[in-house]
Parts: sequence; structure tokens; C-alpha cells
Amino acid sequence: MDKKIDIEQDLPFQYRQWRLERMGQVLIACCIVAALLGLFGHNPLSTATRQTADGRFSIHYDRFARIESNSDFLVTFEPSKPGGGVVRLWLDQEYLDAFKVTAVSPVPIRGEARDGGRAFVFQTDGSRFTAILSVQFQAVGMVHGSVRADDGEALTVTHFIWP
Amino acid sequence: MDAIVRGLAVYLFLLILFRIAGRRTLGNITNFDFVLLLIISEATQNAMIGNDYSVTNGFLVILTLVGLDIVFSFMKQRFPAMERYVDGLPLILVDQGRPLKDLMNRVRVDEQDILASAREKHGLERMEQIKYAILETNGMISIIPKVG
Repeated sequence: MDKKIDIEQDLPFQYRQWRLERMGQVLIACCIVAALLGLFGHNPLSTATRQTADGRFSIHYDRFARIESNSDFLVTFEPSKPGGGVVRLWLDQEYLDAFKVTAVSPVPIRGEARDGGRAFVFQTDGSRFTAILSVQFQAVGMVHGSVRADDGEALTVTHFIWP
Repeated sequence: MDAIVRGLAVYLFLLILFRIAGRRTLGNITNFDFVLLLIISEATQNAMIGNDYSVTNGFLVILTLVGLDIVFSFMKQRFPAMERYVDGLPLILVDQGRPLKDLMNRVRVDEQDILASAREKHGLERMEQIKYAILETNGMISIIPKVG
């Protein structure tokens, strides 16, 4: 290069920078594709469903979610005994510590607590029904929890919460 | 603490992102680039503030951003090698009236951009009148005309 101009130009460095730039552009494209495929949550593809062996209780939830953002659980019950009554949706304490529940539909008739867990108590007429819990996660990283209907089989769910 | 971590994360994220995007992104701003900047600032605002709208939180975020800027400028002065990575280096695009096509393609600058810059700054009409055209680290093209 011409020596008459006093300039801090370094072509080998510049070429290395462009290589890094190119890698960065590939990374941006990968992030966008991953977001479309549900890696960052808020995407139908990032949901999962767990079901008990007898199929009477299932939960549909977000595998990937974000902190302080809304996430919904859809739980489906099929009461074992016919006729009306109540169904308790138990969540373990550690799990409840990871999020706050912003809304429950239908509105539970009451809450119950026992050592290591809390329950939402729903009134049913004995037929199959669904409930939706809207939550906001308060922790980052892997969140594990278990959910059970009455004293039936517990379903374990795992979420990854993005910051 | 939350505000400082958020400010730091957004600062570093934007620093890296704009470095990847290349320097033409911020130099030679078109109308649309201006709108894009407004949208980006709108999107980053939420990430930095979160749901805490208190004055304290706003102040902490601003202090973090300005503080980081001061730290970075000190470090760039102290370690010139770091400046290269953060700001990049200037690049000669036209040498004695001869456009360096390969370099121009890589930085996405074409001859028309250089000629526009030459017209604006020095009233030059043709490429041969340009001695050097340099893409500066701030994304602007500076022109040194041939004498005589």
C-alpha cells in the first residue's frame, strides 16, 4: 500500500475480521431458524404433553419459556368416580417457587396446602374437563416440577427458562 | 443488580451485533435505517427496563451504560489492540484513482457511494480526481482529492 498516507490499515487483520463477520452472520441466521423452530419458546413447536398411564390426567406445557413472560399449562382431568365432586390439582412446592400463577380458568373453588405442595381445588360434575393455568416464570434455567391430580400418578415436567 | 446485569447484557449484545453487521450499517444512514434504529431502541428498552418502571431502575440502567462506555474508552486508549476489535480499522478503497474492487465488495460499498461522497465533500466529478477514498471506522467515506 502507498506509504504517503499515514493510516492504520492492516489487511490481514481486516480479512480475519471479515471471516469473523461471516461466521457471525451465519450465527444470526441460525438463531432466527432456531427461534422459528421453537427453541426460544412462544412457539407451538416448543410445547410438550405428558399423560398418566391410564390417560385420565394429562398436562400440555411449554418446554421452552421466558422469564417474566406468560406461559400456559393446559391440564385435562377425567375424574375416576362418576358423579360430581372436587378434583385437586397438586403442584409441588419447589415447582411453585419457580413461577407465579397469574390466572386459573375455571376459577378454583379454593386452594389447599400441605407439606411440600399446594393444590387448586376444582368443582366438577364428574365428566372430563380441562383447566388452564397462566403462569409467569421467575427463575432462569432448568425448572423441574411434578403435578398430580388428587392422589394419582404424578407427572414430571421440565422447562427451560430463557432469561 | 438486575438493572446492571440487563444494561451490561444489552450493551455487549448490541456491540457484537453491530460489529457483525458491518460498519456500513450506521454510517450513511438512509431514512429506513433511521426508522430501524428507532425500532431497535424501542425493543431494547423493554429488555433493559423489564417491568420495573421506577426512576431508580432507569437511573441504574443509564449509569451502567454510560459507565461501560467510559470503561471501554479507557481500555481502548490503554490497549490499542482492543480498539481494533471494538471499532475496526480504516480501509483504503480507492488508491490513486483506482477503485479496489475486492475490498469494496467485502464492505458493500460501490463506486457510486464513493463518487457521491466525493461530490458532497469536494465537488469532484470523476474517479480519477480522487487520490484516496477511505472507509473510516465510523462508517463514513473520507475523500482525499488529487492536487492540481
